Amino acid sequence: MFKYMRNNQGFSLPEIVIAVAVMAIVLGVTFTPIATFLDKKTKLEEEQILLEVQKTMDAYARAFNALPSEDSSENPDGETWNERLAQFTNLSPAEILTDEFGAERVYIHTTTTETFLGTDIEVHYASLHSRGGNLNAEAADGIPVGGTDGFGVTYETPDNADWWQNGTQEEVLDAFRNLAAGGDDFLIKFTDNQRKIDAYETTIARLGKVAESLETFAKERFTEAVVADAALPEVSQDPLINQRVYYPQSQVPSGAPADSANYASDIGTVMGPFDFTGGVSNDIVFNDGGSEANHLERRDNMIELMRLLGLPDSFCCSSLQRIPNNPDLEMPFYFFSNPRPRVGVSCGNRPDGVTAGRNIFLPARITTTFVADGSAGATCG
Amino acid sequence: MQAIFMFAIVGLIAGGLSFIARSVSESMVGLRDRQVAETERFFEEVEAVYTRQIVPQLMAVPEEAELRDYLVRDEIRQGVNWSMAPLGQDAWKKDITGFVSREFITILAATDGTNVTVPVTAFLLVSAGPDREVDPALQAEIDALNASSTLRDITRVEATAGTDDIVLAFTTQKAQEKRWLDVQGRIGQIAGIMERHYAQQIQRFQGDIANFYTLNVADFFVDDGAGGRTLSITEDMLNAWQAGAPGAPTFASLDTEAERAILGVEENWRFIEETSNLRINVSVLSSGSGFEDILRLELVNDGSPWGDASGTLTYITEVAGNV
Repeated sequence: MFKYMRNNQGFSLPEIVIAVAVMAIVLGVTFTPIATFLDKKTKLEEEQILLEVQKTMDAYARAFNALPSEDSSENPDGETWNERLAQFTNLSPAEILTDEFGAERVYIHTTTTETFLGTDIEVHYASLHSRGGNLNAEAADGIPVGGTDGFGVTYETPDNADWWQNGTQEEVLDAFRNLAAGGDDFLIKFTDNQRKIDAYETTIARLGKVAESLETFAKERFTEAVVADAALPEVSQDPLINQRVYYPQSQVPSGAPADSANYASDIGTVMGPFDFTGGVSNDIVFNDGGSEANHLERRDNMIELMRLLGLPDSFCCSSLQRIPNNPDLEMPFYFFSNPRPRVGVSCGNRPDGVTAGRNIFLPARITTTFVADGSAGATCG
Repeated sequence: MQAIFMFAIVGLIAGGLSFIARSVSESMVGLRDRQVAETERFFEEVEAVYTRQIVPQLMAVPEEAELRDYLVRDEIRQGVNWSMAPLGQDAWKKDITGFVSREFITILAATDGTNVTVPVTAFLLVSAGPDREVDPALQAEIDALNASSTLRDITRVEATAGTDDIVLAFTTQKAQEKRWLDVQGRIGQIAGIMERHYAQQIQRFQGDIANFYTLNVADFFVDDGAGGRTLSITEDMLNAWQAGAPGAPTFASLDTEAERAILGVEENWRFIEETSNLRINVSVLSSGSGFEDILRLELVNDGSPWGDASGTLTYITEVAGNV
């Protein structure tokens, strides 16, 4: 009985002391490594999430040809930058906004206009900054925090959205080139520079293909005119077949083009074979002004033209620009079927086919911009 | 009982440590994979900046003193998304090694003297990868490269199978050829438009000449002294249009350089002269037989990095007048 009682009396004091001592020793030995491990784990996860957000920015730039603004009032539906980016990742808006140390990350975004082979391209630059475990923003390499750079530009802390994106374009680019994390901070930067080169090359290829298809189209219509005119008396051939315009007709912003009589499609006696849009004054593309509605209408027109030429609908538009308020719609090209010669600032007279030395057969032009001269109904094309 | 208790405590601690270690390990593996992917992407972005941005803009890769200088150029700093380590280092903060070489390659030549030579740069970019050590066999290949190595010697280098080294080799030759094709295509377009313009002018002029002699045919007959008229044509009469006789047609000339916009070729012209540092010289080679002059478009190097050792580049397109 006594023996039984001894076996059920629990731990003795020395046993408990020994057990606690062993636990204390084990925990003491392992605490520092555990803390280091946990710290390391947090940093690794912060790096991983930042890299994921960087990929998300790339996906966003592909979709919208832009990056979200840090100012939510400039984003569609007033969404915040992290809400916009969250559409393209499994991360939630909160996970994008808050770093692994519990503080808010700082997102900064700006754009510059750069010239590539004579073409202006809008390029986006962005950075996402995390202040690390000490929750303080450290001076970043080349980018002073609360200091002044070589250009004399003073930068605030990353807490303030008035940091490296401040200054002239040259200053901004210089700052972006030197942007890097300081201290225990984390920072990723993103530019859609290469994406814009892709878009530029795509746009150039489309322009070339459309120009080539227009030439083919005009040659076919000319051949039809020759066949149709062969049976007509010469007096009916006015203007002569080599003085007509065989490109689909475009419209200028105001007033009818004075030379519409030269369009093969508008010449009554020989209209049939190349009446490609079914009627007189059958402008296929309206190069109206720059409102959103104008762009949307012209986009429909350009798609119609692409179908007439046997090209994919996407060739209607420039990959470099989007229609305002329609970030998923590319900006349509402008089409001038009988352009004026472009001489300096003044556009010059449209070729009349009579003036010696002036060529009535200026090729049709497809452009990414609309340049109007001062005269009513005139366009440089 | 006490032993069980002690085992439980030790097991609990070991389990906790194991969980933490596994979690950190997984994070590290995940991060390592991302670092490898990011380093590969950085190499690809460097290639893209050189082949798609710098060569089209500057027509060649400007020479630098050493590989690192190529990796920290402003265009690279501004055009890539690298932020894992200082430029010139990989994701594990080890210097990127490799080799860069430049060679002049003739991309177009013909027996008529045509010769387009361009500088081509070859890059070999090597990251030691997660283990921070370049495989000895690969290192030996890199060390064997020198100033006399050909571009192919550089581009054939690859990572040794089974190692974690990251290697990318590329040249700018295709980019240079594409740049040339752009220029050549635009010269062809200019020549084609000039030829078409010339043909139209001749067509119009032929009609004017026929009308002129139809109207003046009476002048070809003179009194035969017997109350009639006889045909009398002198060389001067036939050349009346050339001598500027009243009402004679003139062949409309066009200054192909000054009136580029009239021809609609000013965009092509500008592309060549402003973005290529090449210049088009236009001259007319007279064959002495009226319309059959030849219009010559000659490309002149105006300070571009193209051309042979003396910067000479020879390319001529001619438009025959007898169209």
